[in-house]
Amino acid sequence: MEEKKEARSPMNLLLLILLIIFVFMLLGRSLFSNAQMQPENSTMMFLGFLGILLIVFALLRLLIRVPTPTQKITLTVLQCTKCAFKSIRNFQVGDYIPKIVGNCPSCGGPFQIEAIYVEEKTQKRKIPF
Amino acid sequence: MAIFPGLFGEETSIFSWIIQIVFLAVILAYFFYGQRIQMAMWSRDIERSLYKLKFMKDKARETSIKTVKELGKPPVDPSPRIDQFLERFFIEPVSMDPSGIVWKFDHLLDVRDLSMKDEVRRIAPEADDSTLNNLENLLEAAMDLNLIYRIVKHYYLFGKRTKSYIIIAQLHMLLPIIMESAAAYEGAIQAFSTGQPIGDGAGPLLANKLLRGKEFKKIEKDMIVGETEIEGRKVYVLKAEGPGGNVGKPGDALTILLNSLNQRPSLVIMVDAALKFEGENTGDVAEGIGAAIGGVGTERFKIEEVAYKYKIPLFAVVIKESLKEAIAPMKKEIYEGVEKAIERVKRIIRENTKEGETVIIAGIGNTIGIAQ
Repeated sequence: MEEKKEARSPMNLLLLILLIIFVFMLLGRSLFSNAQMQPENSTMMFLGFLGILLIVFALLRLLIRVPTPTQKITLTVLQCTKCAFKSIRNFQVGDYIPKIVGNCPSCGGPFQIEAIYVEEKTQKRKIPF
Repeated sequence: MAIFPGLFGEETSIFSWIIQIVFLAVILAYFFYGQRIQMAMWSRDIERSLYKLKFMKDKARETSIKTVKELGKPPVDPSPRIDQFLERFFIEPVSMDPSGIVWKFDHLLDVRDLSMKDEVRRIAPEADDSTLNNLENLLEAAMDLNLIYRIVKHYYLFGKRTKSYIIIAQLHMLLPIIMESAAAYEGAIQAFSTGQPIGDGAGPLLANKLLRGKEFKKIEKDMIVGETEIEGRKVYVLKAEGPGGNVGKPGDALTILLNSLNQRPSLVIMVDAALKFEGENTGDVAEGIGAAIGGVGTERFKIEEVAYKYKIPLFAVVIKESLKEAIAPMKKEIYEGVEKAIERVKRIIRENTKEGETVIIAGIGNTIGIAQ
C-alpha cells in the first residue's frame, strides 16, 4: 500500500495565523480610527487589503492540497485449465504466467496463473474534454 | 510625488516611514537582485528534487544488494561489486559516417549485454538463468537512477559554481520530466526485485496467451517461436524467453524464421506497448502500419529490412500506456488491453489473409514474469 501525502508544515499555518492577526490590526486601525482619514490610514488600508488577498491565496492553496491516498495491491489470478474456475489471491514471489500452482478446488484439474496485475484503488479525476 | 497619499507627504509618522523604506528597499532589491532571487528559488526546488533522487537511488541500491544476497547467495559481500556495476557506462558508436552504424551499434549492445550478464553471474553465482535476467534488469534500473542523480547533481553544482542563470533555469524547467522518469525507474525496482510482469510485457503476454498448450522452440538467443492456428491460418508466434526479465532480439529471430520458412507469410503483426499521449486511457488499443518496437532502433532496422526483402506487409498493434506504467508492475487496465488486442489481431488476420495462409505475430517487450 502506498499513500501520497502533501506535507503541511505547522510553520505555514502559524505564519498564516500571524498574517491574519496583522491584517485585522491594520484594517481595524485604519477603519475604526477616531481621527479623520489620515494619509497613514490609507497606507494601512492598502496593506490590509493586500494582506487579505494573500490570505485568500494561501487558503486556496490549502484547499487544493487535499491528500489523495492511492492503494496499490498486486494480485495473482488463478484459473483452472479444465473448468475455468477462477480464484484471486495476493501476489507471491515466484509467481509467473502461466505457472501451474496445484489442483483446482472445483474439479481437480491443473490450476494455472492466468494473470498478475496491480489494482489501484483511487478515484481518478475525469477529464471533461 | 505621492505614490500613495501620505507617502513622502509631510504628515508622516514613524510607522509610515518604515513602510515606505521597506517598500522602496523591496523594489530596489528586486530591481538589482531579481535574477539572483529567482535563481535562489529555482536552486531550492532543484535541491529538494536532488534529495528525493538521492533517496530513490540509495533505496534502489539497497534493494539490489538485498535481492542479490537473497537470490544469488554470494560467498562475499556483493556491495563493492554492485557499486562498481552502478557506475558502468556505454559509449555509442560514432555517427559522423552513419553508413553501417546499425551493425556497430548492434555489436556493442551485444557485448554490453554479455558483459553485464557475466558480471551479474559473478555477483550472484547461485542464481538460475531466469533469476539472473531479473537481477540484471534490477541492477540496470538502479544504474539508471544513479545516472539521473549524478547528471542532475552535476548540472546543479556546475550552475551554482559558475552562477549561470541559464543552466539553473534549464534544469529547473526539465525537472518535472526528470522526476517522472526517476519515479518510473523506482517502480521498476519493485517489479524486477520480485519478478512481477511489467507494463512493457503486454506484447509477450499476448504471445503467451496465443501459445498456451502449444509446442515452442528456441529460435535465437533469448527468443522462442511457437506454432498455432487462428481461424484456419497457420500462425507463428515470437516472443522473448521468460519468465526472467528479457527483451530478446526480435529482429534476428524474425530474420531466421523468415529465412527458414518454405511458404512466404502473408502478414507480420507486431504487438507492443506504446507510449500514450496525456489524457488518453491506459490499456486502449490502436493499430497501424510499421515495426512496433522501441529501443535504440537496431531491431527495428532489421525487421524493416527483412520485411522489405520478402515484401511482407508489416502491421502494428499497440497497447497504450505511459512511460511510468511501461516499466512499473503491470496494471489491470493493461492486462485488459491485452485481451482487446487479441481480438484486434484476429480481426486483422481475418480481413487481410485467406484461410491456409501463414501469419507471423511478434509479441515485443520485456517478458519478466511471463513464461511461454
